[in-house]
Amino acid sequence: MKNMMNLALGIVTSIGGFLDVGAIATAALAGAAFGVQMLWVLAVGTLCVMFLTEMAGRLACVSHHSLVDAVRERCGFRYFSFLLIGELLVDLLVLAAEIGGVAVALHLVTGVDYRWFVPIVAFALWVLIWLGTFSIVQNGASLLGLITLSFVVGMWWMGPPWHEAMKALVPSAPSHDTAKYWFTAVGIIGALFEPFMLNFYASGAIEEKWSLKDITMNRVTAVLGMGFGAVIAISIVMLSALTLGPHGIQVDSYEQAALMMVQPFGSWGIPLFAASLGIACFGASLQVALNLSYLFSQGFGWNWSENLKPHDDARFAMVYTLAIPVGALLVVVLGDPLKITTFSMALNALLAPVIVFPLLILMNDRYYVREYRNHAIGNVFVSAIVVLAFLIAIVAIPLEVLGG
Amino acid sequence: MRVLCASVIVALAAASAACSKSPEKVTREARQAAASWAATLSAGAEWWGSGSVSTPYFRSIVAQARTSLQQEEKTARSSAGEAAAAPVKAVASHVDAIAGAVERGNRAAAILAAHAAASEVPAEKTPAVAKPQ
Repeated sequence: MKNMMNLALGIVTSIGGFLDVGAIATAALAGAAFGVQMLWVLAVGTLCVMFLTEMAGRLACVSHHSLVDAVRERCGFRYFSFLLIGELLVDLLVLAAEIGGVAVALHLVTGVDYRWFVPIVAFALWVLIWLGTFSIVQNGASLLGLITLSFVVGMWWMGPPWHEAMKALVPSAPSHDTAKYWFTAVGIIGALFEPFMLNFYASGAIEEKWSLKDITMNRVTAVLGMGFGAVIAISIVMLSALTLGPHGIQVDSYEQAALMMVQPFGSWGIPLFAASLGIACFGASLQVALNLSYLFSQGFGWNWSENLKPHDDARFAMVYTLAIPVGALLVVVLGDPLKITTFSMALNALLAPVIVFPLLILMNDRYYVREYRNHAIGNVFVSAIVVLAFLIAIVAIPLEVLGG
Repeated sequence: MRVLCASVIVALAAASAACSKSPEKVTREARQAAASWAATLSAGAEWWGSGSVSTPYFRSIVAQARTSLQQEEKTARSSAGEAAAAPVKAVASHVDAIAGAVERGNRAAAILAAHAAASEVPAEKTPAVAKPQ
């Protein structure tokens, strides 16, 4: 019974953790601009992230190493420094996007400029991490994140074109706006592959003292949690395709994206969208801020655990204490949270190989994972998708950014 | 490592060289943005009129539309001339009337002004099931 409860909680937290500002923004953008045509990107990306999450969890279960810790040990300090700088820059940008997402959610229901909410959100974030334990941070936000199921209800309400959606699972080229199509595809992949998520998941497994007996639970959690999370993301694409595209509304701001919920829910639509966006982003910003602390602490061998009091792992606490205001400042300085989001998600796709390939090396190393090594299918599939996303990102990012 | 870095630099340079925008593209994008904001204002006004969205929310849509249209108009004018900016300017000319109607709480006037904005540039509607290439 206890195992079942743990499993259910694991799945729920994975669903909650799956959706964040990137997943919501890129899915809404894709649905409004290209209908259900981009569902195949979500399907391929989800399959890939299932493999990766399972690997990160298996590494923790067998070797009791987090991903960063093992990369530092296996690949050396020079490689780790490269990873540290890349992930620091991208995570700060993602943190800014998530804080911006919460602030925009509050703006949607109050009408007050989102910038006023940024310091309040940042302070609330810091207080929760400072005072909370890992299970409060992880499970609390994720349980509240179940409100994002309202996207699934909304899609159901609108009567989705199931037959066409199934056809859209086969990859296809766009009929218009080629650069935007591929930039959005990279954004969707980046929103799924967020490198912070892999190390956060592995660190969480160590915080919760997973061991060999948790290997099956890890596998089921990765597959079902990510699978159900993908269902919510697919619902956003379909809802956006059914409600915004046919009106000729493109998603250039969160105000436009929120309109997708008005048709199915009437006056509840905007508050539901705002609650979903706000809670999903708040949960994700907790994870990104904590991951930055994990990244530095595990890499430099400092004391680390969200379950310790801040004075017992002072440097761990210092990292998130510094990262949160920097993220908040970036939202105010850079402006337009939606643009920060789409750009940071594309950068995720660029950074993915830097963290995924060492993970693959570790998952084939008998010293770390003993007889629990990867099968060839997992290695080949994950490598192919990550390389492809990286190559598309290299071409699509300058095309979209320099082309405006 | 050097080969990888060189490949990345070459790819970036090629992509950057390929992405300078033609005036036709700027004109088309300006038109798309104008049509999208006009459709947003029109749908938003209808839903505000029926009480499906709150006044602060509709007010923020109008404010966002004003900012985005101003930026789009400036970009279109500087890159492709007055003709490219014309549809954006046409939609933007109705924003003040919509904002005024919101401040007075006059829902019928807001709907009328938003429909007038939408009639300036017909929306490019994307069907849920878009035909792939």
